[in-house]
Amino acid sequence: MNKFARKNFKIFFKSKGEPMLWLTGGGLVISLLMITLLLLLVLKNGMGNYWPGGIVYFKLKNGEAIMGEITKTEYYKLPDDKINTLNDEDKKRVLKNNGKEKRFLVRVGNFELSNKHFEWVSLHEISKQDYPAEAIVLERLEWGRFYGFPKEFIVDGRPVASDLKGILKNYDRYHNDVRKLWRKKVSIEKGEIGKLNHKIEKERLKLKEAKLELEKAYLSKNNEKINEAERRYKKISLEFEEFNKLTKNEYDKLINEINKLKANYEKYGIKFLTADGKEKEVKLYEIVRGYTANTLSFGNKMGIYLNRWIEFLTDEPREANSEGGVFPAIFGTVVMTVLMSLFVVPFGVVAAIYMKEYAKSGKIISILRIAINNLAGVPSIVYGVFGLGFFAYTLGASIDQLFYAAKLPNPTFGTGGILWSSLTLALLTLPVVIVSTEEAINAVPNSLREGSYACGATKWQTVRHIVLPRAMPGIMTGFILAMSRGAGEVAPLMLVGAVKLAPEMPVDSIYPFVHLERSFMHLGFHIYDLGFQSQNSDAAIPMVYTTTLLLIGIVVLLNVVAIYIRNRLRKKFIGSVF
Amino acid sequence: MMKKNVRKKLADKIAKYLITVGGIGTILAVLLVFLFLLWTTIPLFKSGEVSQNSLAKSELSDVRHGIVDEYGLIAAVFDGEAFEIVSLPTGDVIDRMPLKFKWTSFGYNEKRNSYIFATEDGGILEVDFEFKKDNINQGVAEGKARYSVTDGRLMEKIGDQENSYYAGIKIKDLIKVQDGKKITNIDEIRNDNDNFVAYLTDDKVLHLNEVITKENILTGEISTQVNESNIDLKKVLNGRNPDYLKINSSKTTVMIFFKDGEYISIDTKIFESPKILENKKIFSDGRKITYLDFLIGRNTILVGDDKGYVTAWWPIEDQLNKNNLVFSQIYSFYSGDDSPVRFISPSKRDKSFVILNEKGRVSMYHMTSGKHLVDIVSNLTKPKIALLNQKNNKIAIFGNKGDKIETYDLKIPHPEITFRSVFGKIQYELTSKPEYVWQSSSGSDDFEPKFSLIPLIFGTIKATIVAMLFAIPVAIMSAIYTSEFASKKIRNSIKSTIEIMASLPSVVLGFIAALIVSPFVENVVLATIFSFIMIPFSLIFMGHLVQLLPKELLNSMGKYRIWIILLVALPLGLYLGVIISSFVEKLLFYGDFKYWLHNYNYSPLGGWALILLPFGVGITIYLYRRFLYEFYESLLENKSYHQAGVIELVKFFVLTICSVIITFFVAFLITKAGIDLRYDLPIIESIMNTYVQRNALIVGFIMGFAVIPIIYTVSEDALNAVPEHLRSASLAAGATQWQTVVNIILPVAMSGIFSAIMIGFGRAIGETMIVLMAAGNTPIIDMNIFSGFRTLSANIAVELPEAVINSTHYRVLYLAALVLFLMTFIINTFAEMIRIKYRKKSSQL
Repeated sequence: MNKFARKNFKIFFKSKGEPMLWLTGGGLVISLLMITLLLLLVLKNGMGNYWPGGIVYFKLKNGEAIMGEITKTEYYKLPDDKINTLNDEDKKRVLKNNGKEKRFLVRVGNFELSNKHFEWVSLHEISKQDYPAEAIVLERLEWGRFYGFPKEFIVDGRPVASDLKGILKNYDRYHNDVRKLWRKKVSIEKGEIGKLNHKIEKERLKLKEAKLELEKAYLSKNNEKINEAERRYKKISLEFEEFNKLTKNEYDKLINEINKLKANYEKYGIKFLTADGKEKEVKLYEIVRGYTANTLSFGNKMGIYLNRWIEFLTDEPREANSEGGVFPAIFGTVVMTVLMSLFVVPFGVVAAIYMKEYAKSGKIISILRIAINNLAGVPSIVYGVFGLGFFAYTLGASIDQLFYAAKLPNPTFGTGGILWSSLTLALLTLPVVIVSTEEAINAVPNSLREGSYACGATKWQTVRHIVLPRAMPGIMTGFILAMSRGAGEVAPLMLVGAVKLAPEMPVDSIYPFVHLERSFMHLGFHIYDLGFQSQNSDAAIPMVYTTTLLLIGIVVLLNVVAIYIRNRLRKKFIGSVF
Repeated sequence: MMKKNVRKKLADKIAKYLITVGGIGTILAVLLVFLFLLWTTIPLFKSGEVSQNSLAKSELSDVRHGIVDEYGLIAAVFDGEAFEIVSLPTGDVIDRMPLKFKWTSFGYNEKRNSYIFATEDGGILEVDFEFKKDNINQGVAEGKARYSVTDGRLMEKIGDQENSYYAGIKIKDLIKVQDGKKITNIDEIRNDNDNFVAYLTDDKVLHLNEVITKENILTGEISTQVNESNIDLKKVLNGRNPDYLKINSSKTTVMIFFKDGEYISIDTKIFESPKILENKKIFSDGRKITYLDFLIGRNTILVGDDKGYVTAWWPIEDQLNKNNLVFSQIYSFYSGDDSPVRFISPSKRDKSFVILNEKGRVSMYHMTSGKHLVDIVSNLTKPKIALLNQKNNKIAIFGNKGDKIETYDLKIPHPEITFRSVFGKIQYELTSKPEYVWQSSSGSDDFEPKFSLIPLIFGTIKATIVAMLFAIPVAIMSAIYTSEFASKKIRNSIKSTIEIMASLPSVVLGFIAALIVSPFVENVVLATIFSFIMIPFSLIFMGHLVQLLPKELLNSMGKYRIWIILLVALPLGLYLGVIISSFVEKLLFYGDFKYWLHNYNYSPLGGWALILLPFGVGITIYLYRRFLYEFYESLLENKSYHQAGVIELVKFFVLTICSVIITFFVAFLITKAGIDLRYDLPIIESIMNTYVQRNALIVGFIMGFAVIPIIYTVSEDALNAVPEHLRSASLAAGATQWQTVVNIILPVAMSGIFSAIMIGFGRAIGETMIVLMAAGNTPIIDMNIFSGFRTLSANIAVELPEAVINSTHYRVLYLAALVLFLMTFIINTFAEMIRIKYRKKSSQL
């Protein structure tokens, strides 16, 4: 080593900046690690929730017994005076753990009997632990889960089987049919009766409209008008009565049918014995799913797991959204996002074309750019505030005055709804579309434009046939990014139309099929609502995770597609530089 | 051919027109958002509007007091001898009910529209009024006037319908409480099941009567309990008759006033033994009291004086002895002239009141906001009283006998809002000092909404700052590493991953923060804090450690650096954080950090050391650079590569130890000086205090997570945009990569990075879901990083769905949105301007 190098070790170390380099690298690793951990956490909990667990039976030292699924295990600090009351064995264990004791959070279910969904059990309280083979867990339409030992299978009030095997056999035999009948009943209630109610409502509104018309006529003091309006009102009231009679018949028929169905499925039930010795009969139709959790094979478990996923994706929520599916939320999110795209893409593209191809002065462009960047930086909640005040309370209220006066004071468009939500989000995502379209238009080489002009094409022809086709991938990217933003944004939707439970879908089979005024369910809002507004939030948390997984899945998928398209576009663009 | 050309040109023109309109229109949307917010907020700051409604002939005698119904259409006025029910639009006396006893004094209960009278012979008697409105749904004769009086009712014609207004008077039985003794002053508080009466008899004894009615929920039995007590005031009254006697709402004080400004208060907290609390002159400049009444809620006394002022008074804490309450003047209002105040009519709806002075000028103020709402000069020659109705939309002015009755229509949409009440400190009723408070609703009736945006703005800034403290270093370091040191291969995948991080919905982050991170951190607070310290420490330590490796190995290990960081340095940092925190917790925080936080007996040394550590490090580095640098360089001379590496490492350890020592020394000094960071810092009070599960630390961490991608992306772009020839030139001149970064790339990209930080700021300010879910949402001003807060955005999200459209609350929330909009607007415009300037500069390079 020569002398020069020797002298310059200080310079060497300083110039390499190795420690600082490690610090910057650390920053990067922390960022990447955080996102990875978060995704893994959601993936693990979201995927794992639906895997059926075993049922544990605890006999407690105070003589009580509880049964359920263990959802959480943790150590907690036991107060000193409490430690002293323990027996020697427990005391030794607790002291060995630095005064910490193990405890389990057991999902005990049977809410209607015990008023509890969950119970904490500490290790020292347990005298016996068991995994009984005959224990059954039920997912029910109401009251959440049920844990118990089957006693009798009941048909028409008479027991037909009282051993486990017989009960399970009967369950397998009847359950599907009974559920089918029940589903039929629900579809009559929702479908046909819903349609009927709609018709009645429509007729009622017609009547009210006529009445409003009449009142207006009275005010005008024009006798001719009054006569005319009175005649009309009378006619419509007669029609309404007639209609009422007709629908009454129809209604009775439907109710009859429902009652018949009910009689058919309500006679099946299973009598259970709970861990603490209470007896309870559960009707067969109430059981969404039931299984002997401790004797399942892997295949059975897989079946239940997949079945639960299918239910999650295709069914409606139950139990204050904490069980069942999220289909209405998926549907609402999709419809809202599609509507939003219909608004945002044309406007965003037009604005970008204007800025890139038409606007002349540099000053205007820079002001516009500042405006757009500001639009991108305005907090989403401010859009929500604007949407509520401008779209719903101003525009919507005027529409109500003009077209839905009969329904007032109940607002139709004058409150949050899917149209206003999608318009609000369209405004919110506008910059995304503008910026990516601009980028794409920028990437179209000028030589192509010049060539087009040289051939005698007008500006519009050039834009239409040369620029836009080449900018298409960029526009697509903006479109997809906007959709992903729209699917994930919650704050403004809380103000302009997302609700925890929408009774009716925004698109259905009742004329005019698309109901833009209706409020809707949204996956993101669903997460917020379940995690924070739910009464039984412990039970809702698995559902929150699964919904989160689904939402992240959708958003990440959209983004990955957008990134892929953009990268391809960039490559293509690099290839086509002249 | 020609035809086709024309069509072509037409299409071109139409397209141009449409695109221009569409383009500009789209961009006008920004302006629309701003204008709409502004348009909704402006009415907040308008004062009231007045229009004269009617001037009706009246046959009343001299009125002394009165009540107006909710609609401002009929009034019950008292002229000393009788109550008269008057129709305000027409001036007719609908009903007259003379009092058949000789009264000496009366009290008025505004909540129940009732009066209590005391008589000369020791009796008391209550008079109740009930105002009613009926709707008569019949055809009404054409040509009937809008208002008319028939059968003791005021009829109002609206379209083909009629409303009738009338009042029921109920004079209750006289109760003899003092046989034969004259009662000189009386006041009463009556609620549904208790009744509190205070009266002064001629022999200067103050009597207190309390009647409590209880209903047994099980049996439905009603039992009444009567308590009595009295206090002799001969000494203080000195033979004089007081002019006013008032009981406050909580029945804890009976207040006596003389016209000359003397004030005596009697403490009735202990009902059985009332005692004199204060006896003083309230005015030092000799002003005389000309009228006196309570503001709504019976907490504030409004004193009208002969100089034309109305002052608002309530008891506040004594500065010397906080348990002592002193009756003090809080606000002062001018009636508009220097003539004595004749009458005050408090609103039944909010904290506003109407002043009438002898010159006939009527002014209406809102007490807490101080807003001057209305200014009217009456046309009456000698107005006696001015009454405000319940809806605050009508004032009726009564004059001398034979005078007319004037009524005015008012429009006072938002009396409680001024610029000061939204952005300044306000002293609310019964509080001892002005404060910033946000409290928009409450269960109680007499509640006054408090709309200071400052706690919300504070919460917003607090969250943003904590988030940025975490996000800026991590994001910028990530960007530097990616753009300058990462291999091309992994660069793209890193960028894509971070873009995905940007796309994560904030509701997901909020949920993770509130339900996973905050319960987890709650159990390991100190370990978390120490991890934040030890991870950078371990990274730098590893950097020094690898310098011990042979030079060739060091040069070729760049590829594996991030893997070593992931697998060794980070776990090491975490491990050190946990180990050191448990050690420190035992040593400095008495075994339990969270308990230490609110147990002020424990020494604050540990907390100070924790807070001062960054300063300790800074001071050490400064001292090292200033005094030891030369010495250190001389140390390295003539050492082998390996030896130099060891010396570097030793230097690092020595400096670390020095930082800790300096920190502890300063912390020790401050602790010795007796300053505790948990409660008695100047201005900001505390930096650490009681731990709340959902707090600024958690929000800062997760919100940092949310803004890292945006800062990263923008600053990475800025770093990438530095022209390649600069980089090449620097490297070619023999600079190392690190030197190039520090001396060439960073200075050039600085403005871009700055604009990235600004954009990150903007994002964090407006973030809603994370704070909504993880910040606890308590609107308090507290520097403590372990306490909750509420931001502007979360507040809007929580309260706007429940606010009534166009109410004050609704508009104030719009104002909050406007403030948020402006904050982000300024920051974004600033960032954009810097970026434009920077782009120009870098294109010149």
